Amino acid sequence: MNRMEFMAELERLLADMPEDERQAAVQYYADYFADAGEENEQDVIRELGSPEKVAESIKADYYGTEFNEANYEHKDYMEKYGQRSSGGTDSSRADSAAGTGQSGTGSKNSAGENVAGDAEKRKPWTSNTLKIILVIVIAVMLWPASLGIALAVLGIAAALIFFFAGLVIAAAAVMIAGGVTVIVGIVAAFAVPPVALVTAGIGLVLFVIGLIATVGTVKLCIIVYPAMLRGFVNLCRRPFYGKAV
Amino acid sequence: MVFNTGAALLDAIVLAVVSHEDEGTYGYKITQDVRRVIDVSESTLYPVLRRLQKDECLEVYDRQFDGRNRRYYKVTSRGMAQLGLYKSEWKTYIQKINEIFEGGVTA
Repeated sequence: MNRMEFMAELERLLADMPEDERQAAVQYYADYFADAGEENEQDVIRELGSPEKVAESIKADYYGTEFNEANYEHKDYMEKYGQRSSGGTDSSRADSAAGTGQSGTGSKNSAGENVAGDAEKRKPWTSNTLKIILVIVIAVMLWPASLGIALAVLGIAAALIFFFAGLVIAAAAVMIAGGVTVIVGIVAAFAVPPVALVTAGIGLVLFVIGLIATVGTVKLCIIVYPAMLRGFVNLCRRPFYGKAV
Repeated sequence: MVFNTGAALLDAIVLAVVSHEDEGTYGYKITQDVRRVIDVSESTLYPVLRRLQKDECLEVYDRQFDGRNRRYYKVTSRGMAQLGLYKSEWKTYIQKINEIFEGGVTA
């Protein structure tokens, strides 16, 4: 993986964040690569781990969710990172910092209680595993309905994909037909010149219309297919990341 | 290093590193400077910088460098106040630790 691929992947993974958040993060890492220099590119990529890990660290801080270091190769990440990601808002952190200062001057007991209280607070009330289990349970209970919905969604998706592919094929066919007409016209030119000229002319017009239509529909596909895919993926991700605030 | 660097300490270190540059400094340099002291991974600092920025402890501006815009970070007056608080907290903290390490248990 090179820097370009890394950045493209990171940008894609941050697609569901608000625009300014994504831009700030992308600019930061683009700067980072540029400042590290080309000769250190591979070192930086290795050290950063993967685009997934970087994206997760950004989102964890932004959404205040738990950053699960077990998913990534850096076992000691959380230790290095501190317990920031699940620590709640900044004001509460500032409070706890002040609280630590006071308890430091107070008795040892109160300091101990503080630590225990913090540990309880940090425990998230929900988790992705729980959500996945819930989704599975609901899917099983509503099995016939969910099967029907899944098939319907698949059917609509397939219909859309084939509809646009059909447009491309139709346009290409018009283009080919035009080309063939031109050739027929040229061949006939030796026998009946006027008719041949008309035939070749019509063929040329057809060919050009076909060409424009082909280019147009291919471009349409380029726009529509990724958008469909992204929409579908976002739909599936929504239950796990929640809506952007 | 066997000791953890907690969130507040990491904030304090980043603020201190940035405050050393009057003209402000940029992400890569901050990371290198912090990594000279503590062992953090390269992806650790962006969320810290972003949050300090949102808390108005840091401000950012873009400056031309090498034909591109580079984002610079600078400590605000609020950030300086926060850093002052961290420094005094740290002083009492290490004092107490030192007392225990060197002078045994104190009352």
